[in-house]
Amino acid sequence: MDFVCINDMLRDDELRSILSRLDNDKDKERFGLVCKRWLYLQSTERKKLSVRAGPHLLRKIAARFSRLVELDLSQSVSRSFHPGITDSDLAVIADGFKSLKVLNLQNCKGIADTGMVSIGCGLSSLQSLDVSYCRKLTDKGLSAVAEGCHDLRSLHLAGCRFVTDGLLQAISKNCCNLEELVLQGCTNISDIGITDLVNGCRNITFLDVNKCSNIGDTGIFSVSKACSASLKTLKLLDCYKVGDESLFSLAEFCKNLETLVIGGCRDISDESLKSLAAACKSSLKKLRMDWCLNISDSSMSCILTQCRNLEALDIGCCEQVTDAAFEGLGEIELSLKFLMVNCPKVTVAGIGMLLDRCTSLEYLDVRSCPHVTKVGCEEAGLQFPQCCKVNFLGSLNEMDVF
Amino acid sequence: MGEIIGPRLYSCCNCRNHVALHDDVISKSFQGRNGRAFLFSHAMNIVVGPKEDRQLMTGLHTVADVYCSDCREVLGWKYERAYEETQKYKEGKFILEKSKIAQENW
Repeated sequence: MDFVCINDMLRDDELRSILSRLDNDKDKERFGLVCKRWLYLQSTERKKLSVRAGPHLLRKIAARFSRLVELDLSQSVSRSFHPGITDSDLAVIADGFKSLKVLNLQNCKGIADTGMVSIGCGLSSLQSLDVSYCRKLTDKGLSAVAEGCHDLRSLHLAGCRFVTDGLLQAISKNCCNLEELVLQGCTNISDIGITDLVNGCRNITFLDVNKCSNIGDTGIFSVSKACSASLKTLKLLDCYKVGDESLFSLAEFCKNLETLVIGGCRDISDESLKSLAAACKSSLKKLRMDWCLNISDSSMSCILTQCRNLEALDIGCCEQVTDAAFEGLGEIELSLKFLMVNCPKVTVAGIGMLLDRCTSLEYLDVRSCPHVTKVGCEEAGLQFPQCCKVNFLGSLNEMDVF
Repeated sequence: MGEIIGPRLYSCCNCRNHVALHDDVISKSFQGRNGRAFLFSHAMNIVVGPKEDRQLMTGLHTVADVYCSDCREVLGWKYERAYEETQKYKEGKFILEKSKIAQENW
């Protein structure tokens, strides 16, 4: 009688099918212990890894997990004497992980332009790169990434303060599929760069230029017009040159806008905010407008009554807003889950009116409200929804909502 | 004759936990809650408290009180955000009150 070994009869795709039915990571690892062939199948099935390793180990990892799609090498934010990932490590990565689509290098403070050039030359399938807070990087290295990685969809450059308009030009020429771009804290970029960017990149859904204080109405007008159908998230925190013109252009062109951060845009006034509320009334879900000192009850009321899908709202330090903004909400149910109302004139009465309409509220922040205290709310008999956390004194964890 | 090797440090006045390097001092002429204070680019072994909007002498700011990580003594605050353009240079930096820190290793 012939003896047939099941391992010889089963083909690779049958074994892969078996492997895919294992839910437990431990079981998958045990699968790899059976024999070299099963180890190869298990290793090449692995799509994602988070590691901290030097060049020798990286080469071994690249050899074993050759079909890796996602690699997370991000480091901690705290000051450390250990340099972490270096440019030569990036050369090993660019050489070894040819199928890589997602690379996370957040806080890898040791890397510089040389490493980026390796990435640009080696990883042509790269779609997502996060080099937030890799402070040494300049246009030189990052342009090499843009020129080499044509399919880039997501690029995070927060804190890369040497980035200039030149890089935005390179991205515009090379990465037309770009959807997500984070330039928070890239203070050298200007309206010219942003206009160049959206000339080539017309599918942007997520644009973060928080703290880029040179950006103004001209740049935002270009963005509104070029990415009108795609734009869903726009972050303009402390872009103090952004004013009414920007909001009017968003209202005119961007009907799919879901998240807008205009905190610190001090020149924005009621008229433009009202037009935005009217235009984006079904799409708008998150609005952060703290420190908008010119906003008053009239536009606040429009936002609340018209934007029915609004889930998160921050109007901290909007000094002119009073309880009157929350009157006349009628019988509408607001979908608000996160509400930050740190306004000096708002009182317990105003909070009460809001609570009547916000039955889904999960988080309420009144930490800097001089007239709203825990005692005051209890005395007024305010009823907070079941799962709602209320921040009176800042003792709770902060929510990272916007 | 003992020779002190190592960077000049500041420590918590209460428990001598090391909290800042002298090399990181930006300015010595700030006003804290109880007198003179120093502006540092970095602080270590501290806990940053919750953020609050405060009207300071120099305008509207978001600040967070800063505590010694060992004994929880309030040592000063961190500037998270500044409203005035001229004050934005302080963002991300730390104020430690002179009365709350002691020189170490000098």
